[in-house]
Amino acid sequence: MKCIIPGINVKVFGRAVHSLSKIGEEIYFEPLDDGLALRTVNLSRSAFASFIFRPSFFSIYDDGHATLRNDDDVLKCKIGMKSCLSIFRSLSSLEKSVDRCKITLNMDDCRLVFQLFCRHGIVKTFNLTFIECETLQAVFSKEKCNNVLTAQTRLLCDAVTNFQASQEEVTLIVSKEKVSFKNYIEDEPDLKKVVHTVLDLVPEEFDLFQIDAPADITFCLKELRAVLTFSEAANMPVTMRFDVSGRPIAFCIDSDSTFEGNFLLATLADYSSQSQVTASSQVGLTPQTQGQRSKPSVSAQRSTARRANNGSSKSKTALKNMSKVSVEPPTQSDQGNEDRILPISLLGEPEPQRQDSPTNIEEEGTFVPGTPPGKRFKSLFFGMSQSTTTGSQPSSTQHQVLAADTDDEGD
Amino acid sequence: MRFRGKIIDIGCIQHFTRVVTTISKLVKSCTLRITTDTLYFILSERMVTGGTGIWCQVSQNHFFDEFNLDGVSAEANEIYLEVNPDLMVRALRTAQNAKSVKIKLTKKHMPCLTLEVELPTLAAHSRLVTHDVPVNVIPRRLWDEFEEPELPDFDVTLFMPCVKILRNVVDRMKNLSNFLTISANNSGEMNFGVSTDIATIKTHFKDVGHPNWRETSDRDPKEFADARIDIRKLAQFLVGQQLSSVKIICNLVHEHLAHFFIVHDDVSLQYSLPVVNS
Amino acid sequence: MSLSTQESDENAQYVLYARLDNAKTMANILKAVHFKDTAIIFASENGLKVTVEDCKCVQANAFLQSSLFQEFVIKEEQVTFKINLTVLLECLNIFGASSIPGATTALKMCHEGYGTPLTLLLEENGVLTDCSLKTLEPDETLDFNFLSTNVVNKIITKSECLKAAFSELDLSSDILEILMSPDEPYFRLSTFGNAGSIHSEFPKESDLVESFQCNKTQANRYKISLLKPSVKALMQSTRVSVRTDNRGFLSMQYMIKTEDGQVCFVEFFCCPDEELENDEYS
Repeated sequence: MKCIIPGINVKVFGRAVHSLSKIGEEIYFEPLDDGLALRTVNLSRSAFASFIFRPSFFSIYDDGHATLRNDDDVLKCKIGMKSCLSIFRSLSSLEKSVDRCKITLNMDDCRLVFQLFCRHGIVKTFNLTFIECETLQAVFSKEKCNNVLTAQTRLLCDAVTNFQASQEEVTLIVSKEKVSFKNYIEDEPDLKKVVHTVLDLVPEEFDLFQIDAPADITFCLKELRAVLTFSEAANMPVTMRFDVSGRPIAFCIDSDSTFEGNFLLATLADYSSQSQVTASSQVGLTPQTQGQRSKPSVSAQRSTARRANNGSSKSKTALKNMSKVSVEPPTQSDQGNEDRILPISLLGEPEPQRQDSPTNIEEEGTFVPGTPPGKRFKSLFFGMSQSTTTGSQPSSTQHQVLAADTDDEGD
Repeated sequence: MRFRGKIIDIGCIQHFTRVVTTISKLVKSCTLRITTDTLYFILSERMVTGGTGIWCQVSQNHFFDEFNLDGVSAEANEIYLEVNPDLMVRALRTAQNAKSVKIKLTKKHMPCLTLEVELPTLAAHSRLVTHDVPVNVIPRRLWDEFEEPELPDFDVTLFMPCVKILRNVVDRMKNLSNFLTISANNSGEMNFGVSTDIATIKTHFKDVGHPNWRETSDRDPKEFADARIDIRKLAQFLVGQQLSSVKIICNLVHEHLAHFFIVHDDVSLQYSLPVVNS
Repeated sequence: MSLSTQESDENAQYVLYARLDNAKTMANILKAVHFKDTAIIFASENGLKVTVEDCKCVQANAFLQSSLFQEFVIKEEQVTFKINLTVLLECLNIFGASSIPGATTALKMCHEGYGTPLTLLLEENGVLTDCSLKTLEPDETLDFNFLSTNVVNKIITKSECLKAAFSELDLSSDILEILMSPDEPYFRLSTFGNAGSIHSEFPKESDLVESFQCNKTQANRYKISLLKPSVKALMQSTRVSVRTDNRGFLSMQYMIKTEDGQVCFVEFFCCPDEELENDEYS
């Protein structure tokens, strides 16, 4: 594999890495036929981001597939976010001094090699360790979204400045007449400390305003800011695609054909809406967990009693009820069942034969104790491509393993 | 009990924000007293919790174009609120380019000062941002805790030297000690100093100027009065002085109190710090 | 300049007396070696040498030559004392660290001799600050015995060459490896941290390399924590010389221009972390 990013695009690439770094701790790196994919997911699986850089973004793009003997050698790996970020840390000095950036694979030493060729003949080489893994994919169908809004970055940036930097979640309320952003307050012991803020916008302020069904969507503001740091610097409009609460919201940044950025954020569920049980053919779920999931109130992290007294019509208990579901590694019987391999539908590819299930968003919560705000969110479903066996490094290829029997030294 | 005020001049919005910002730098929570012609920000800490005193008066008509108040009762046409000035500042910051700001007392999930900010857009219409800042209503029976403090007889009274220079000096000294001694006399001499095991540092200002607001006493003009105060509080006070053209009066009661007094543009602020014994 | 017979009586009691029109000159040079709280000051007729050490492995020396001062008087052959460098810098910067154009702080520095405090008088815009700093018994300083005759490899570059590399060092690596060689890659800085290995290579033909005199391939490793403080000196400097001797000891010398165009030097010495064969790549 060999890719060379010309000087003018190095900063864009670096900015994408900065943006991804605000979401997750690892970058999933995959050279595809139609471009280089960089993806990440946050710890609680409630935010997913991906950038695809098309061959036209590079001065040389060789995904290395031509020289492979078989599909097993296709590079799918992940590298540490911090390590990758350190390469592109100073965006201003990238712009000033880097002539080009070369990315190659050193298979013998298991290193992903980034080389910055700078002015004055200076060469900076980063030999990053990587871990082989599965493709990271999120399932989301752009076509299925009833609501689409496209806005200039400036509008969204202006909107978020009205909220505190420490504000964690924000609610987007849309109707055919207007759009509002509201700060979302979860259980706050000291109500005296919290300012409630609402910002109202009108349809005319959007480049595209297509609202089919009114909606009330709450998502993580910090993650939206990650989107905006990229779109603002790139001065590109942002398209938001969403549906009802509980379904993810997608923020898409599209630069014609050179690259595309997609951020998929989970949203808080409105418990009173239809139960969003997904089909039983979820990868990696044991039957036991499916049973748990269909019950509305599962073991909750926080007491639900307090929440039940909240006079708001929207019960938030669902949010606190995270089914402590264990995600098993794919069993033998799961392999080979192509129906469950779901492609990256963010690119608008049609959903495969799953029309009977009400939604395609998994309801399970992969609860990770001690993680930041996202833990209350319904997690996104991640399809695992089953094309390669994962015998070699079971623990590292799993996103989340909580089941006791993966712990060899268990009690 | 109702209150509603509206500011439509951008200069007034920004000035009002500066005033509240100054208060927010001094204290986390204070009392806001609203009368028909004046807004007061008040703090009177007991010695046990620091002993700091703040009394800030703002002429309402200097800022507000519309001002309606229905106080607690007809003969007590005032409202006392416990507010967090920093929360107010954060809301006001979103209004720095606004067409107008309305402030009103509301009852949402709890009593609030609601700020409605009307923001301009590229198109004809306005964008509205609403902030509900939670407050506590202070009952009438507690009002006498917030009376204007009587000023003691000061030993020394003079103008503070150039705030920009003083701010730098105090910031440096802050890294060396928690306490600073102000030493001044009625002849225009003023010193600021810190003393530790490792070093003693003193900055001397001369000819600082003497305000004429008090009758001169029999005190020897050369005699110094000292006040050892919490340096971080002084530093915060200086940082909050965003207009360098404004003169600050400093009054000292020897080994008892340091008092600072600013009057500018219909806003007056008094800040008093007790002396900390070594 | 140094022993004026017309010194005024008011300075008669000082064994060391110096006057500087712009205190920032001294403050900036001292900032370049400020990585510990204390420093040893050696005063002689040549000027001041300020030494800071750490872990008995690294030493930084800042030189303020007597010609830098408007007046420099010393009555003994050498005056030495230990002082709190952090406090000294706060005093020198008492009127603010950043330079306001046009305003300079004048400095008078005096010392009456062993056991007495160091007195600083700083004045700006008619405002006077006087400081009295305790002096302490000076510690023994290391002698790295770094001789020019033992230098194996020497490179002089413009500072901008190394600024990015040094300020972005991967601190998850314990060591920094410096390779200097008459053959490719000529000059290379490497770290081996959690991310993997990172190398910065500087070819000898680079227009930033002013002088390249390498005789033998050497790759020496130094503890990153000891070298990291040298970044302060590097950032202020315009040129830097990197030399290693036959023991693998490192000397880095930084040329710093003062605000009024004069030149001062700061040097760092560091001993290598491990014993390595000097004639092989590591």
